[in-house]
Amino acid sequence: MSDFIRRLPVYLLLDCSGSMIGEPIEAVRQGVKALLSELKGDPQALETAYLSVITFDSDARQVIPLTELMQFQEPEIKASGATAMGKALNVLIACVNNEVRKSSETQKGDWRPLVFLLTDGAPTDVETFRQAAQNLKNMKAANIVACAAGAQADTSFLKQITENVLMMNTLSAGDMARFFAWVSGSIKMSSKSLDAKPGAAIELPPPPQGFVVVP
Amino acid sequence: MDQHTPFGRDVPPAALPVGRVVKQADAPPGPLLLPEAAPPSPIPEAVSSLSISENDVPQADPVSPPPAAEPLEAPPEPQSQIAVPDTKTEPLPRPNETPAPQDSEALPAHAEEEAPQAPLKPLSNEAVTGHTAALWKYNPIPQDQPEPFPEYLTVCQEYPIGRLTGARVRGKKHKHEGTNCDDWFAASSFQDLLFIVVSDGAGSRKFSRIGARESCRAAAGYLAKSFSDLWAKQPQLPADITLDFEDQRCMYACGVLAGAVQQSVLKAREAVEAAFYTRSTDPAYAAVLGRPLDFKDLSGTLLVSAVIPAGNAGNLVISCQVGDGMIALVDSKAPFASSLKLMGIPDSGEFSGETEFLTSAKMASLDALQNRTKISRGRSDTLLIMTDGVADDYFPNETEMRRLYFDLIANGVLHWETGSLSAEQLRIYKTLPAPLSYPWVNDQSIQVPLHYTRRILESSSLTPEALWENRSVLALARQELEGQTDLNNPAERLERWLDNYVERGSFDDRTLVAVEIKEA
Repeated sequence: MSDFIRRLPVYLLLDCSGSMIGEPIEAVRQGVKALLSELKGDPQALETAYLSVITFDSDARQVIPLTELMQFQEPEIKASGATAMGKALNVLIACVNNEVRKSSETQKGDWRPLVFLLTDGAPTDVETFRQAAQNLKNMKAANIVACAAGAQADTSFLKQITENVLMMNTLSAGDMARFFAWVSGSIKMSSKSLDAKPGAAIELPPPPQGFVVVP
Repeated sequence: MDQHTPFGRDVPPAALPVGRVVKQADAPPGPLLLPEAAPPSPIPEAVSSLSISENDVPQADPVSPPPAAEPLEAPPEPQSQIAVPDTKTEPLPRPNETPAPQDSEALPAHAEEEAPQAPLKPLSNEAVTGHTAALWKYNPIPQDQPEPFPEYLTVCQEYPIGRLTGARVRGKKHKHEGTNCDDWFAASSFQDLLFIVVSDGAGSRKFSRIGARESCRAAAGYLAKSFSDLWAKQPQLPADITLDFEDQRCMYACGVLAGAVQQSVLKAREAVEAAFYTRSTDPAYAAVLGRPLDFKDLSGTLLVSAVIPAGNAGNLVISCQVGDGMIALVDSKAPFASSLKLMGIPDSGEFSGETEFLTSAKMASLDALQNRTKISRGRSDTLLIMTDGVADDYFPNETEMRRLYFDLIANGVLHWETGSLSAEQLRIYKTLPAPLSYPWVNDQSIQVPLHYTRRILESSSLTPEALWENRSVLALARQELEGQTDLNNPAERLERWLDNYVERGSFDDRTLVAVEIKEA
């Protein structure tokens, strides 16, 4: 018999480029901390959600593989370098392919992964990015929300990845906290609406105040 | 037991208790809707082990729909919920006792912080559910919204064909959020025929429970009426279904009866439409939704089974299923390998696929129901009909439905004679793990002990085949469970079991109806 449960994989793609140095990257750290503490109090999220963190600067890597919430340890996040968002998308594609279980005759597949991408800029690896964004869209393997933070963020790139693009005006600690609170609300809501039929559209809570849904 | 209102044939095509509806308000306005990209569901294949596959069933004669069955007067709703026994009493000590999950596995205190790529030893599911047990909250069903449903539906009823044991419990998710249970079930009978209908209202729809209830009642009512009419107009039918399957008369009869079952699904859909129209202008529903009520708000699955005695040929079981859930037939006297037949055809897809609902446009025609109908005739004596909240915990159903059957014996729902145990069986019995207790979500101070076949197989090193040959061990274990409780009605035990068995990631409403068919 299969001991696998149906997991809700959640990927956080965090921009750790040089422009995030200082208050913004500290706000991201605090945000991840708050997100975890929130989710660890929710029995539905604890039983279903698995979290992974992918960071990108001049390069991209999965700093935390898809991990049980109860075992999740906050990653060390530092800011430096460029914005290799394209590489980050390729890392994401590889992770989804490797980590997310497909349904089979004898195995429960995972729920459709939920991906949150946060950036304050635009990709510096534009060619890689275009290709990766296209591949990701073709895969249709995840529900992706991209958030452009601050005045320098370029939403037109994000639109190449997903229809769901949010914009927050500042990189302030307050806005960042609201963003992560919204992410945790979204994960909770998704883990709740799971029985609403896997694979179907997932409803997320309305974005926090001060955030704009980019049409 | 007052709440176990009989709903037998003396109350003509009777349905189950009635409730009213409500549902918790959704998240604030303007939810962001992510696009769906679920692959199309594959067309379900017929299961070859069946006596006849749906393809062999002749196209049903359009059964002239008899005058709609009179609205089923439902007995009063069960209000009281059963008290789950306090089981502070120590479980019987046993060798090799497995500790409660809370203690079974300490959480790794710290994962390698500096080497994030090092894979952690995964936690056991029991370690996780042991941790979350205390976090589940109980919030009652809100009474200030339209049509609140009862917390429990629990039925134990003897019919000429055998005993029906059914229960439906509100899932932990709904208890946590203080929302209604969306499942419903109903049964009806005519002479020695029995009809069972189960529905699971769509989780994403606030008033799906109304569709679930209306569809169950309508289908159950229609079936009793329709078979009564058929028996009157075509008196040869009961004899014809006992003939050889190759016989034209038998094929014809099966086709007619399958047609009636399919027709009941259409009647159920019509009832949901009617329920929608009577509510569509009622501001109370729009107020909860923040928009006008839509037909799709009453979406649900529908699982229908008719059990028809077929003399020396055993029983004819005809089922039709829209959406997920499962219908299984068990032949308790058969060898393990041939003991199970799946009568359900759930829709499924790649990422666990989308489900069809009774409200889907294509379910308005008989064509779509042809592929969803199965007929079986034989000696099977146990019919299990359940919503996804149970079926999903026994995945893959092709093999795991037997584990469900074992769980139902071990927890006192299905009857199995203990008889006198052999020395070997006593030895096995002694290796069984003590029942596992979790706190009752409704009252965390009450621990509810239950048997889990999964744990029994693990700790006794028995194969499922060997356990099949030694079911009396389970029956004995179940008596011991009873020593800790005061439930002597199988439906109450079913309710307790559904309400309390713990599987990680399983917090949906759970409904199961079991029919134990008497030997002819």
